[in-house]
Amino acid sequence: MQPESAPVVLVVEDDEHISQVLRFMLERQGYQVVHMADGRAASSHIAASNPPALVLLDVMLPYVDGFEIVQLIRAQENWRDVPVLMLTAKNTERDTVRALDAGANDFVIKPFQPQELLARVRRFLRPGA
Amino acid sequence: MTLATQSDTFIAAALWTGFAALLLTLLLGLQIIGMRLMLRRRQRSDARALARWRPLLNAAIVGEMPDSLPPLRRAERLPFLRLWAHLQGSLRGEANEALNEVARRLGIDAYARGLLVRGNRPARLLSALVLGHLHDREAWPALLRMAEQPDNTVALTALWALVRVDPPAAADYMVPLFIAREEWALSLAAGILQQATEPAAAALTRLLPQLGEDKLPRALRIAEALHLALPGAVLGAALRSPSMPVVIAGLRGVRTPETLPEVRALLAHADWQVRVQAARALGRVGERADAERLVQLLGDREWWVRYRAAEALLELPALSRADLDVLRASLTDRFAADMLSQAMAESANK
Repeated sequence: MQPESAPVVLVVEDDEHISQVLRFMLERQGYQVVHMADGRAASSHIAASNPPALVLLDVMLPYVDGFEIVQLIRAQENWRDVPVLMLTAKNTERDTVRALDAGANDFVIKPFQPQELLARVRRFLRPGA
Repeated sequence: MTLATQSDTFIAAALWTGFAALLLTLLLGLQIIGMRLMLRRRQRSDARALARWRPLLNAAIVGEMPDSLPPLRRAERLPFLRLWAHLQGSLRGEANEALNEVARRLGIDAYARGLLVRGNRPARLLSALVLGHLHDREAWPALLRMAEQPDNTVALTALWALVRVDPPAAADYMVPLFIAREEWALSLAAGILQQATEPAAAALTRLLPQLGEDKLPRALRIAEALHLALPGAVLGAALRSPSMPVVIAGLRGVRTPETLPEVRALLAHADWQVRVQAARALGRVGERADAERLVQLLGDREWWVRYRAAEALLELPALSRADLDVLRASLTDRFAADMLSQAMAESANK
């Protein structure tokens, strides 16, 4: 159980095993995790909820892909400044460029190193960052 | 009377047929219910196994290796292996090593070796993946046998595992195999050999001089797919070959200026496909002085040659944008100037 004041990280990932790993890692670091398993659920959540401290977003998602989600985030007034860290597949340089062009702040390539991912998350969630 | 007897026989036959059909339907229904119950029971069992092992694997992944591990129950083995292999494929670095340590402490290596020999097809595929991730040297002979099977999925999974177990030995074994098995896509071969690019380059360098013209193009395309820079002598021999497929495959693999004289000579080849590849190769490795050669090709009778020559001019490292503008202005052939303008516009939009 995380304290109410803990920063919230929205994880949008359709792979159940990976989302469980991400939740475990992030909760261990003291963050609260909200998980959405597909693009449609994430879109509804963005439209209806308060912004989190950070969004960890997979590119390949059912219904609505990660590129559209990041555009949705940037178009939403209260979500506009939320840092977005995208998970892109290996050997898809084009996806990485597209993610950054769409408005993502940073990206992590899958397969990913857990400690590297946490370091990138911390970079955005450091007080005063 | 006869009519009545016949009618009774038909009615009896219809009744028995109906009864048999009903019985079969009931049996089928029972079987479906039984299979459904078994599936639900297995799903519950798998969920229990994952609930027990997921936190332990997650802790190991983030560097909090548990001091002691509970025994892995028989019913937990397959769901555990599936989760473990999935995590191995999704993570890299220290997390992979941590997962390997957990697996070895649980005796997964020995279990997977047994499964590789005695398991059914899905179990053998899973165990090959597991043993590959574990770099398990003891599994080498069984994986080799598996790689020789006619089932492509089984064979390619075994090759994937072999290259992780011992990259140099696997490259020596696989390179001739990938050259011979033309039904396997080059991307598959490259994907597997990517784990062993250096040994694969060494194996290809040894093999290329011994190959006939029928096998050389595929071998050269494998080198190209792996982005290997082959020795100049080996590549030069391919570029001087009388066989057009060999020359084209050789040109596609030019990555260093060692074979520049051969590439330049091929710009004037009678076959336009050779000229296309020669222009592309010159774009990759050419010098400033090669601009004039490529300008000549801008007036080629084949559209693709002109197009690739224009692209190659843009790729030449020694030519600046200003140089290209001057060059375009100096062209007297309208088709050549149009082609260069098109390539420059496309490059600006990339």
